[in-house]
Amino acid sequence: MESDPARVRIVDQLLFRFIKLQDTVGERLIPATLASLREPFEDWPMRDRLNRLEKLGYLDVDNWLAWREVRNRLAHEYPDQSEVRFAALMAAIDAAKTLADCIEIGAPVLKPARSPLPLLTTHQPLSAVRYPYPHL
Amino acid sequence: MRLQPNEVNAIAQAAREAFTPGTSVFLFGSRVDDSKRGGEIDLLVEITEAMPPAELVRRRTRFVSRIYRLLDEQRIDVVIATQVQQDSREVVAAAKREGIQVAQV
Repeated sequence: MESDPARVRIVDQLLFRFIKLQDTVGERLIPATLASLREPFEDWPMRDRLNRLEKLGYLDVDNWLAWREVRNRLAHEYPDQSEVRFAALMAAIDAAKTLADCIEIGAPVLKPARSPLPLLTTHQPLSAVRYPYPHL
Repeated sequence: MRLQPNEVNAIAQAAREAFTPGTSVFLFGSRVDDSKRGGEIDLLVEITEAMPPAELVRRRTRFVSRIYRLLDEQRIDVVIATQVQQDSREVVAAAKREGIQVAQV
């Protein structure tokens, strides 16, 4: 694959977009969700923010940490065998689908209040998740 | 070795939750050198037999994210190798040479 620049570019884009998506949820969606819930989150460490959102039913901390691992793995060069790197890429695509779903679930709270939302799990069938980033 | 007892415990617990019995975990890299400071945690996970890549990635994610939960997110580099199979990666050879065992599942 390294010999095909067009494919390398697509894979690079994919990695970049996943990292970006993960970072955006952490840096913007989580604070925005807590702000709209009128939680005094400004001085809270990330772990407290995650725990609070889990308690309120907006995310699952174990899922979040797994996405962080996938993100961090993509962000660094590891001397993995090529088939393992491919599997890691596929895992990132799966994670991106669930993560994008998290954005859809989080979005309503930024508008007027709604009823509590169901927990996210990575175990739901991916076919059931609408993926709002067709350009990826 | 520059790991606190709670860090060793967290790695052992995460290994039990992510890997099957017979798996060993070794610390290598800068953290085995007492004269250095800080740095990421480099771990070699030795599994008893090869597994499909997708399963390997899944278990690796579970292992590291469990450590994140117990110790908070930090730089943790994990290399997985099988005990019997030859592994041509230089990092695996170095890890096996200098590694200090920190967990046994």
